[in-house]
Amino acid sequence: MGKKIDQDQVRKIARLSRLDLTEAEIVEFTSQLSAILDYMEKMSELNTDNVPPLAHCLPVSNCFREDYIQESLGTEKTLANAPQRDGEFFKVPKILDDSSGS
Amino acid sequence: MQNELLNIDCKQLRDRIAKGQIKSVAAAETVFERIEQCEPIIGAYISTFKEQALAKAREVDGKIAAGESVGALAGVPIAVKDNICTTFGATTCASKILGNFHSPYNATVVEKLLSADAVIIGKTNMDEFAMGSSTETSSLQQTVNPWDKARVPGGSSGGSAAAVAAGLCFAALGSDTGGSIRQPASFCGVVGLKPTYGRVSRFGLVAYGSSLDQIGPITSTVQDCALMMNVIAGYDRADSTSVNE
Repeated sequence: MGKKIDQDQVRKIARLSRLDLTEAEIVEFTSQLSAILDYMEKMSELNTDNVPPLAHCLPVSNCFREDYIQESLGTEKTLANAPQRDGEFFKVPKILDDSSGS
Repeated sequence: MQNELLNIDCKQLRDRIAKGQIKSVAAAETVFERIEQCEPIIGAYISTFKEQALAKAREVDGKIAAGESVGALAGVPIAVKDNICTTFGATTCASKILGNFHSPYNATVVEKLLSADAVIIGKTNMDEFAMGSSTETSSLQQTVNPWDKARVPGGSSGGSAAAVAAGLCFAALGSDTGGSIRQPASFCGVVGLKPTYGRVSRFGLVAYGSSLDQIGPITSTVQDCALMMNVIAGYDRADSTSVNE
């Protein structure tokens, strides 16, 4: 038996995911999510003492280009799907309240 | 015409079009006829671009007749999985969440297909956001396996695989994160290749597992897979995980 997840954690995850679950779904998903975590525990059975960590499967790093101006998508195309715009800006709903300081 | 065309592969079609033996318009029209016949049953395509495809086919035929050089896939009808961005039509990822999203840019692989003078027929059905292995999770429509309507085509590139298997295109692009090209290709009895990570640009592919995703070809022969890879593979400055060697 590995990690378990409880119904409160499932409710929290559902809220963060903006998913509206029924009580029956919360019960069902709690056992399913627990089973998934148990399955992931199986990987701990492997001895990886001599296996170096792998950050990326390709031997590439610092994939930069020279910093010069080049043609890009342009403002009109970039804002083409904006639900709302204000000149050259995407306009989005306010998510911070004014009392939060900096 | 239909029988003649449906029994040849991508490369054979490409060669005959280049020699003027088959008109690209005829190939495209045959594909659209077949789509009209079969799509009510198979459901491989989310959207098709008949006018645009025929216009491109006419352009290709014109260039060939004028002795101008054309691309490596000139006149060949190709399908594109609907998680690959196109400036034409919508890019839905088989999800209702994206609504009628119109991408402001083409994926690099789409630009390469267009430069190769391919005739893009339409966008194919898939598991929603590629998160599935049967195409059953598409929010838009069902795709059946052309070999047996009671079976799934596999997934997530089920639409692309079914389209190739049923002769609704001569080749297709799919995407593979954990098997989504290889498995539906196998289920539909066609060839599918997941390129080595970094071989094909992911620019314009809606991400699923970014360190695993690759766009790749689904074709009826291995040689056709190579033909498609020659067109779509290669380093892309817009994808910093693509490989420059």
